[in-house]
Amino acid sequence: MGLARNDKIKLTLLLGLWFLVFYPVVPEMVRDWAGHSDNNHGFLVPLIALYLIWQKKDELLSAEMDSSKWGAVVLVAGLAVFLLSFAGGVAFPARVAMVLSLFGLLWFCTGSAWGRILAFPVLFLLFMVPVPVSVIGLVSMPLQLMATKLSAKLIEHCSIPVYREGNMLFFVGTQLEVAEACSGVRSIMSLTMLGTIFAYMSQATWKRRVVMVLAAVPIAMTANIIRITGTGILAHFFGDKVARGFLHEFSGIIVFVFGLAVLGGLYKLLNRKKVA
Amino acid sequence: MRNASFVTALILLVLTGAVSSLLAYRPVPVVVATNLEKLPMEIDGYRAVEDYFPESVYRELNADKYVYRHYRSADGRVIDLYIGYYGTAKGGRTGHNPYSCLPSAGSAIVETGTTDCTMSTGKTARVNVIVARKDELNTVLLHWYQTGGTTVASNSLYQNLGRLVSRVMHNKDDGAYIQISQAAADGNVAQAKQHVRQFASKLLDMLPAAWPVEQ
Repeated sequence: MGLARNDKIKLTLLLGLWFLVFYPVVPEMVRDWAGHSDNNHGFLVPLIALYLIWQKKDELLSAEMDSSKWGAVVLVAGLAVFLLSFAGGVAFPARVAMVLSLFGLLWFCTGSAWGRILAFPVLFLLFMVPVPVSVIGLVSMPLQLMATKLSAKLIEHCSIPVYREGNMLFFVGTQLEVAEACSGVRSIMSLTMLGTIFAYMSQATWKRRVVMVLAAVPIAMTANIIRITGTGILAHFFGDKVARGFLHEFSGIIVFVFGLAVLGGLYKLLNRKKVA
Repeated sequence: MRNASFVTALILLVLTGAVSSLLAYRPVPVVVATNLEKLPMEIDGYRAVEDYFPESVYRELNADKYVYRHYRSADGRVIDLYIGYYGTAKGGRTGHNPYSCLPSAGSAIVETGTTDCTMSTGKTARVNVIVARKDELNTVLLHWYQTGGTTVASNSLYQNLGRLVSRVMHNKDDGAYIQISQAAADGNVAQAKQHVRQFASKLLDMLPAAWPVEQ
């Protein structure tokens, strides 16, 4: 069963209008995606969301289209938050409201059956909203310090003399600064996003899915500590050039792939146990 | 799709679009008097010398007005003061914070926390304390965010809330980042903390009168 022509026109009109209303927050958000490596994954999120909706195409077409008053509540709340934050010149709540109002709009106009199917793909768009610098500032410093402390201990265990002062690691011939970008926040955000996709695809129980999402945080932190420790050990032998340029970027990719592999392993493990 | 929900959603979106368009046409206030330069050159027995950043630093800070002074006491103690003011057009805040800027400059942060500064009115303001270390010398640094001359926030999350309220109510969300620091040898960190806290209390008393004017 296909979507009626009339419904297609109405949906297109509403979605087009929704985009026009929220367009003022889009250019700056895209600049944030491009301008800061913590937010680069923002470019992928809308594409992933579209793919997830496309996957559910048949399910949507066979579901009954209705209306939901709760959807109206979410839509009105989203629009009100948008107006308030737009008037207040604060970007983050306006961006969150953009996603919430889209979900509210679809839920309100297409009903609960469609709302249930669209909930994850649409709310997944929240991952495209850059975390405010003020929030990053609150968590990155303790994460940075913890990563430096643990890395220094691991390096010492490898019989390499190292002295830590704050976020600085001093070796015999060189020194390394564990900068804000090395706090692991970036890996936490991207692996949490991937953990959420894994949990969505999983057939496991809700508890196991939650474990999958939450596990992304310690996995990302561990991967980051391994990266700092590895960089420290290499810097001791080959100088601080290993912490700059291509080698630094390459180690970042390797460690991210490691985190992804661990997350994938966990996904397989949690799903397999369910079957057994 | 039900016609009633379609029409309701359409009306809601059109109304929101209309209101946001009207809001976008609100005039953005401009700084008409920077005033901060009028802060006394003598505070709490310390006499100031003006300092200026190189052009590259000035461009990077992108403040509407900055004050950078070294206040020296009669017995040779020096307190450095930096105030970076950002008008509403510049979003009222700086993107820099000492937690990332100090390590980038080669200093290690060895202690962080907050402290309360008591003003002459009896009111207290909570500000941040950082002890940083570089080349075997400590720096005790107090910093805070100030909005609309009188509202003090110890972290940028509180500052953002203050900015939101101020912008919605008064169409203004100007603010400043304020930093006071003193170098201290290993045994003198506690004493330096006391000095900068006392200096901050005096400065907090004076700032509302020297706050820039926007129209």
